[in-house]
Amino acid sequence: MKKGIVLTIVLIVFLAAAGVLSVESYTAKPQFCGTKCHIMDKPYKTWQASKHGKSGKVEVRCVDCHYAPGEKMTLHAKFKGLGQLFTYLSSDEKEVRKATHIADISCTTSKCHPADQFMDKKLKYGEKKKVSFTHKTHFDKTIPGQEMHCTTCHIKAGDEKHFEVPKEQCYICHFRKSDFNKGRGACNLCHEIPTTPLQSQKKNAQPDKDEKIITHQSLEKAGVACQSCHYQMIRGETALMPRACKECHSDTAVLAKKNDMKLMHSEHVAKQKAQCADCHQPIVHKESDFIEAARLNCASCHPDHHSYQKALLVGNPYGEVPATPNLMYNVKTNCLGCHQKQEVLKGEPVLRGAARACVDCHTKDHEKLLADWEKEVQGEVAFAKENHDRALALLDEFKDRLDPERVAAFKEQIAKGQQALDIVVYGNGVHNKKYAIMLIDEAMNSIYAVLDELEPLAEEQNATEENRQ
Amino acid sequence: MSTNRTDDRREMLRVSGAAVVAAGLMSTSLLQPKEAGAARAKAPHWVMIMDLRRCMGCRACTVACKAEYDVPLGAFKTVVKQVVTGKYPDTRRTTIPRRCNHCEGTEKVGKMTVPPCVKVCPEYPKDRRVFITPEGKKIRYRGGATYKRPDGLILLDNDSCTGCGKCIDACPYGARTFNKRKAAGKDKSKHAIVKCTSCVHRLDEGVTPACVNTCAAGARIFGDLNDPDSEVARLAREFKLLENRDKTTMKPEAKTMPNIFYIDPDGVLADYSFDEKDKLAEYRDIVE
Ligand code: SF4
Ligand code: SF4
Repeated sequence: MKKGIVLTIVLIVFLAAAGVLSVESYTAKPQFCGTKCHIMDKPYKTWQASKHGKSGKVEVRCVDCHYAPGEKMTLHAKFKGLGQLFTYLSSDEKEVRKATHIADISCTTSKCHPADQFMDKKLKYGEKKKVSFTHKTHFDKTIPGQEMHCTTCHIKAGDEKHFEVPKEQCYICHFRKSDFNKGRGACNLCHEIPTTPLQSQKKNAQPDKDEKIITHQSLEKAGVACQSCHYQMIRGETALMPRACKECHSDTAVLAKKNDMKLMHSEHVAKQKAQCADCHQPIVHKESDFIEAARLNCASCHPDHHSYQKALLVGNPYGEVPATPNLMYNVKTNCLGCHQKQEVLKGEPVLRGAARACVDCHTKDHEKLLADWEKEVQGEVAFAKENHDRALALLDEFKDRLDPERVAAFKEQIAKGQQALDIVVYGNGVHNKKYAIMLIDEAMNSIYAVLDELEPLAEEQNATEENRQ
Repeated sequence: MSTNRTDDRREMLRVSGAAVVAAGLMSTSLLQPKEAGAARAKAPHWVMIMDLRRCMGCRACTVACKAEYDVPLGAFKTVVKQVVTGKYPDTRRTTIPRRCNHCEGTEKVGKMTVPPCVKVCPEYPKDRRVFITPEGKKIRYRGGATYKRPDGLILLDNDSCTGCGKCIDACPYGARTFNKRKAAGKDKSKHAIVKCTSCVHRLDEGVTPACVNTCAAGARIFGDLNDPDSEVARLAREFKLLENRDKTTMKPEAKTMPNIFYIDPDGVLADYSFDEKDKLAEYRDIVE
């Protein structure tokens, strides 16, 4: 009888232990977290797509990271899990917690990413694997109030892959309050400076020692700032989002502290794992309209100023004139590439274009070039204006002899010519000499159409007058 | 030449009574653009036809060209290439004379259709010019370092050339090269450009190009395609040169619309090709 009781107890203990263990191992499966618990849908999917999930070499279970290692921590976590379940069931919220806590130690275990191997390792980042990166330089740097953890950068953001670093995360530190080409924003911190010639015709040609080859490196040596060509690469100020604070706080005493950077970072980022983009406006760092970016800067005083200059640089088809972008367009030289000379005009600082800028990149002979262009365009404009005025004068003289419909048609022609001419005059034709000359031809075509009909009348009149005398 | 280069409109109007009549005709332009187009087409359309049945590879043309012009050593404006077809022992060697195609072009600069060499020249369009057609009509056009005259000739004005060499790169045929003996007009540190001008100095005096004049076999036939009675127009009709451009011109895939046509009944042209990378070697005549 006694034996029976002992046996039953042993059996019960054994069954209980087996039960606990199997419950533990069952609840530790990623499938349990992902498929049974429907609020985990998104994290589960991003995990599956990530290197830690099904598409990686080894499958790392959710609990391997989300619970710190050790049996004690596991038990602790299981109880917390029960607590979360309780919270979920007893509240209406659809999500229990947004930011998860992952201890650094979970990542740096000896079988995962031991710190002594990963801290100094040179890595390549980005789609094209072109951005060089080491963990150490980043781990040592802190933002006031911030603590650096693996998860500071390796956040799961939106629909991106679990645990990867969104590019925007880099931009906030690298470009916030840092000049484009200085300090943390220096291009060569992350990018290798290319050595291929920028002149397309020299890319495959035999090198000729007399010829000046322009590369990114020679430009750097000459002190040309990266943004004079790549102005459009960084947009945004990472200012605090206007409503970010008020989303959670209404107490004015709390809100008053919003500029205490140290406090804000320690409260939100260190303690609550807030992501940078939760409070800061995002920064964009990619190709876009490079002329527009510079133009808006120039145009901050007068909205829509310099639009004719832009039209010339871009050189879109106009009438019979085919697309003719400025010669410097392909190497993305925008306003700032040539407008480097600082001057004060009516008390306002302005950047003037100067031939010096041509010489910096090309040869000494290019000094003359700008003057030549200016002269050529001015001569052309003067010629076109003279003919335009003559057409108007002749129209005025002979309008009584022509039927009104034709006079209207002529007027329209002249106005059409004037429009094309305006782009050259107001945009200053030197911005794209070739295009400007073609625009003037376009204008002249309209003006000639009128002159060709009216001049014979004038000749006739002259002849009869001479006869009379 | 000078009659075709004047910048003053009023002087133009005084050229002759015919010009005034012409201007009168042009006055319909505003209302009937089609007719204006027809009046314009009256400029000559110079073409050269190479009769491959006749060329015997003597290279008299190459020598005549060298003698006529300041063609430097090592450079050629016209060459004779050869192609061997068939299988031993039944082989045949055909000689193919070549020169700048004075391409019609398919790209637009303003109203004009131009070949790639003109399109790319940064010094085009430049000064205003007027071309007088044989009927006395005027056609306005633009000069440049490399430019197209309304009669289709692709010409060079070294005074405005900066020697940038963009036209050499742009020509798909290798018809242009640097003139190592001459400096470019606007940048003396660079070389001038050399290429066939279709002997424009002779043409403007009513004389045929030197290579045509000298070709004993009569393999080079030159003339105005717009004149239906001309030899070239007759041959073009007979051999359907215009209709079969992709068989009668060199490298049709370059889409430059060459104005040099080949009479090639055996289809030898199709067997002739050259490497784009080596295109400049095309205009170095090596007699094998
Ligand atoms: S053959 Fe070459 S150089 Fe001659 S017109 Fe054609 S593109 Fe220009
Ligand atoms: S080398 Fe002279 S002709 Fe040729 S593209 Fe340059 S400027 Fe024009």
